[in-house]
Amino acid sequence: MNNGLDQELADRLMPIFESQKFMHHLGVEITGLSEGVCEMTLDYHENWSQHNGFFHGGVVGTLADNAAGAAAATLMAEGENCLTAEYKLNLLAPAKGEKVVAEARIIKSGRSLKVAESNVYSLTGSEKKLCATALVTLVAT
Amino acid sequence: MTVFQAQNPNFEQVVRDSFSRQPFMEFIGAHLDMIKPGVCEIVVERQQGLTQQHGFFHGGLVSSLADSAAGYAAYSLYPENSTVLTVDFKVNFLNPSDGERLRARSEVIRAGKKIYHLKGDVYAERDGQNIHCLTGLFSMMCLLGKSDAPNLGREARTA
Repeated sequence: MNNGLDQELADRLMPIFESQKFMHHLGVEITGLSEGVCEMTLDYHENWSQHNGFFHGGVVGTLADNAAGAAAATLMAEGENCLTAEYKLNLLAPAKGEKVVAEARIIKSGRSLKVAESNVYSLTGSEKKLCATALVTLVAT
Repeated sequence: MTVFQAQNPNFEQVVRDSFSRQPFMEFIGAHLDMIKPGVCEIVVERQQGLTQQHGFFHGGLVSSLADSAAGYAAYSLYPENSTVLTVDFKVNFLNPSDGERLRARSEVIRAGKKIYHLKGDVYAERDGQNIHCLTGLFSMMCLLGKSDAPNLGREARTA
């Protein structure tokens, strides 16, 4: 899925991403960006864990949502903005590992609404396991 | 997409038999077009009785078709002597369901012990084109030891 970083898109969107204090606080990185597609990565830290030591479900949802938002932003005109209207998340397996990666892809790009599919994988060594899937609706503002 | 193995070698017959016992699917004229382990496709032809005020297939009908496809995609992986029930679904309508025919396709994403997660999509076939109308996520429960026979849970109560 990761086709690398489209430099032009990255130049345009990175300042917006960097201005998100919450993403900065968690240390989330954009590891892939192309038209309608975004990949975000978050390293494990015990501060992100729940009572079993897995990544907290809320953190997994945040990553899925944010990757979808950035994927939508790649399709926005300059000066246009988008906001999440709603998302539905299925937690498929415990998110345990060294890092989690969210891969989001826009499946419908309408004038006012965009719909993204966002999958979150947990990574341990070379093992990559699907741990959550989300459908995200974003509204252009 | 993960390739799943059916636990029941007889899965196709079990699924087709169950589908044929669903009065609602019969009522709307739907037919089960394809079933393989973890994947199901259901098709329905356009009739005026299935449309809403703009002449598109009604959204509830489109969701029902996706729900049924998801249910049977999950059921194809269940062991013998079990049945299936929807726990939840969420759908996004991507385009108006305008066409001669609807095709719902669903695939298992993850097979758990009790809960199966699936994705489902519905396409409208119009002038030889496929229009992506709906996408959704579904959770299905595997009820072990429960019969799939008609009137599940509605057995006549003895007075």
